[in-house]
Amino acid sequence: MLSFVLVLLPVLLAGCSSEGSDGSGPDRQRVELIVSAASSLTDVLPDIAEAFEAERPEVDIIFNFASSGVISAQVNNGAPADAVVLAGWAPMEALDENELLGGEPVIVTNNTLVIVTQPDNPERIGSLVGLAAAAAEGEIISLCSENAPCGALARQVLSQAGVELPDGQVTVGQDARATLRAVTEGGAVAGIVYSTDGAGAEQRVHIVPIPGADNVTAAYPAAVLEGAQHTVEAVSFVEYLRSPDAQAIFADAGFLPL
Amino acid sequence: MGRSPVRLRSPWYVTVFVGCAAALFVLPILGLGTRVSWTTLGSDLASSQAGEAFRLSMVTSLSAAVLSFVLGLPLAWTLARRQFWGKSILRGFVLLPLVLPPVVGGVALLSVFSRRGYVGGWLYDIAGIDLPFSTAGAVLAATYVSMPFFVITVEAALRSLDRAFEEAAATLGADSRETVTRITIPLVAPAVGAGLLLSWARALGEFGATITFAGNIVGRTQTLPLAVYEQIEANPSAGYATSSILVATSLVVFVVLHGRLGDPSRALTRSSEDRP
Repeated sequence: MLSFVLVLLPVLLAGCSSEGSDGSGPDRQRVELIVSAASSLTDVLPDIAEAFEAERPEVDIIFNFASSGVISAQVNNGAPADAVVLAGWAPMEALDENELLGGEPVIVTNNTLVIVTQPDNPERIGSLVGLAAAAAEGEIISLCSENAPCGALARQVLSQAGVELPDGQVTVGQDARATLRAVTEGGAVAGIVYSTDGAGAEQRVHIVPIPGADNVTAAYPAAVLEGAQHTVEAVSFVEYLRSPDAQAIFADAGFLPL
Repeated sequence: MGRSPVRLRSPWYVTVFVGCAAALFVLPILGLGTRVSWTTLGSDLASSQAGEAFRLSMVTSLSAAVLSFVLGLPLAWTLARRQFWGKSILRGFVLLPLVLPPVVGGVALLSVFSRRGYVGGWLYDIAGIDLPFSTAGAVLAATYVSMPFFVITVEAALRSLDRAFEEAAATLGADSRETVTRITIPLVAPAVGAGLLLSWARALGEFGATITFAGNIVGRTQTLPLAVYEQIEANPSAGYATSSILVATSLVVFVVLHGRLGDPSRALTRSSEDRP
């Protein structure tokens, strides 16, 4: 009995409280499309959605920005979303294996990696080898978690260049933004992040490009979800992300063309 | 309690430790203050989603505090006063949200309350209620992580309560309802107040279970901590301005309310004075 009450009451009461507070609910005629997207897209996708909504006024796009790992956990556990845009193929493949995708994933944009250092670059880091040298001197380097797309790519870049960072000198961020924060907030002397994140913080970091031969392309695949409430609109939005209009907005934000 | 006529003087080393402890709590907040761009505070807040996030934070944290009270008081009472099989196991479960890593708490809630979870599927089928990615979901996540604070505080107060007061009332002819309303409730009222304050504060700062279970959706589930998280890299001045709202609101509430919680002996005197 007690457990039954414990489970039921919060649900009922919470339902009441949210209804009471939400005076400006969406018009029921409109289609509300929930798109879960990687946090490195936080600054660019709302602009693209605005352009899409101008063409399709009946659609309201609602974004849920989180790390690709959190989004993957949400979708795997049944959170409601119509489409996802993730950083990297690994989380998308995991969703595909669990048969949670409602269509083939397509790449909508690409990113690359850069080294960011503190604004005055105190360790004079000029390359991946320089990162290892700074780490050897006891400085802390910020990388994304191996399980986050940006972390898997950063490790790929490092191993391609034959550079090894000792584990004890690496602070691990759960996504690209947390990794950048470790540098901007002063804990780490340098880090490897997406070039778009570096560009977005250019007043607070010094950017060291990674040469093309050593660098990798980070793909952002998008897909409609199997559990989508509005499949038709979700398909159009994913297609729109590949349109020239959307690609121009991606390019303005520092992403690479398809 | 609080009636000793003797004023004890602290030895010097206590003063030093108090100074260190106070510095540990005060300095970081002052440091945060140096990051806030005070001259552009107004425009930073206007340009950010701070207003909407503030409204949502108030709705979710106050709802979570009310739910903690409504559900947590009977639970604390049961844990403190009743003997039943599995009581310590139940208490263990109540405390678990305190240690669950952020995302794990959210996934645990999703596994039950999402449309594919065993309670959520049933809720959706019969009532059309979908908790994840909704404000109600944010309230549920906040309640899950904040109610333990209410329950431990109140349970501890109930257990340390001197049962002699209640027994005396019963001997003097009070029935059990009278005993509870005239003796027990006034005696634990300060602990209930403290528990409410703690659970509200925890709900206000809640991040991990919320972003996982309720998502990070502007105007629906993006509370102040989530808004700060989203803004702090791309637009740090807006992020710090938003944090300052969180800090200022909580500080005002703590300063104003905590002083009024009082102590149990005063509570009992006051209630006997109130007698008609």
